[in-house]
Amino acid sequence: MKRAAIRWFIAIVGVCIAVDTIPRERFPAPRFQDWLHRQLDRLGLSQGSWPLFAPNPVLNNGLLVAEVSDCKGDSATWSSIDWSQTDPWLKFVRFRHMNYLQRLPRNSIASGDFAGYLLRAIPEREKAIPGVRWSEENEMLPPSVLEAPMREVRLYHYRDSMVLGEGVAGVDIPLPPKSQTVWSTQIGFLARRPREP
Amino acid sequence: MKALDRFLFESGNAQILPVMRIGFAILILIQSLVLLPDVAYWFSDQGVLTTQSARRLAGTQKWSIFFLVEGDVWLGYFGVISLFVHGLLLGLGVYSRVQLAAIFLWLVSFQHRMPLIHDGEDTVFRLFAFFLMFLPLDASYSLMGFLRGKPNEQVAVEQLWGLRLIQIEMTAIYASTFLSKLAGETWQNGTAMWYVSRMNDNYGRLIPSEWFDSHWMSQIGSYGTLVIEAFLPIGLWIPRLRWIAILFGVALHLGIEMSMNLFLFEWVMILGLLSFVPRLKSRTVATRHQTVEGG
Repeated sequence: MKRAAIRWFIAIVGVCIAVDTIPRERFPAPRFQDWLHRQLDRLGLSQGSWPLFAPNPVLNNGLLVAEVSDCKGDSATWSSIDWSQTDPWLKFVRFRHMNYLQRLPRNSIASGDFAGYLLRAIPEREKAIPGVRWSEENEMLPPSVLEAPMREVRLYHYRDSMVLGEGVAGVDIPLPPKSQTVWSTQIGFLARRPREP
Repeated sequence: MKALDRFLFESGNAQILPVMRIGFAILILIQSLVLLPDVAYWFSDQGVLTTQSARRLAGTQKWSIFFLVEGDVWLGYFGVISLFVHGLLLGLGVYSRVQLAAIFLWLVSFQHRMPLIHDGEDTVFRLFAFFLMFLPLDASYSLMGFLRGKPNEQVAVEQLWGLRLIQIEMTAIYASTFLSKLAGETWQNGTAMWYVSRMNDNYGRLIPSEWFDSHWMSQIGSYGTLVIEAFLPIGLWIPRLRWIAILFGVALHLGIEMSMNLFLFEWVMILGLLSFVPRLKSRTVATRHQTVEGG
């Protein structure tokens, strides 16, 4: 009796794993796959996806940048860590932050919340660099000190993409070595959060 | 049916159980220590995602302990400290099944509360916590065994069927990623590793990205990965090829670990590969067999 129950249990779990793991485009009944995935989600046993750089590696290099203005109208810029310049230990202990940065631009709900967080956290918990100010005599003034509360935050994603020639890299055109790789930065607007009265 | 029973109830390796228990516990301890300084940032309404937004992202089917209480930071600290304590007790072998049930509960809760910081490795952790619950992990090298006066209790082979769940999961992961990669043109033309080495945020440990500047190096890396990922789902199940498959799998993950920053993913996958390690015959038993056969 006990062995029979185990046999059934393993068979069911095995089928669930197989169905939930097969790439969606290769499964003959994707609607059933979606239904099963939802049921497994309820149990905390869903698989998620296993891309592991498939079908192609996606370059996620980039920064989050926020334009901030404080209650006096002075502006400042907040920027996330530049992970490409960070040592491996910091990447290890702050790996969750790196994951977050890479996923945030694809999620409008989370982007809005993050802009709201910056609105509350600057300047005490999150540092922002004040913008350059000029006097009427065209002289640079010392940077102003940001004064809480912030009036508005605009959040942007600075995404770095490689500039390659026409054609398929590695087939039609040679792959440039790292030192000669050219990057271009695309700026995408993510969210705006004004202070609520 | 006999073959199935032999597969499930007569062929597990109890020697690997303490390695899996202690290894998994260490990884859970590291996870919780890394989460601890950022509890308020990730898991409270003072942080970057409110509970209300997390509920919207989770939809109706996903649950979390964090959805029961409205955004208080103390629950986050309680959760992470609980995860640490359960991990510690699991490592010591104190009521391992209870610890794993609690670890599973917290991992699901954390992942559904803050999905943006979790990825594939967290899915592996969550599923392993569930599968390991079906194994008698306290039998050897455990505090419970020591207190009972049986530090290395014999485990009946028929209790080891839970290992099969982990093995099925590992097979599914490799098969799935291999099938997905087959559709990618960079994997087909051998440039995938060149692109991976340009992921400046994640790449950059012991293996410099300049290694993949040459096309042939990128091809070796890309096609080598494909060959290993195609071989593992088959090789791991064939007794004669099992050791080779495990070694290739471990080499693949160590290679990625030496080149990329993917936190604990490679280590939890290596732990999963260890579930395939066959039973090692002790030298005394082997010698006795030889003597009997010789005599």
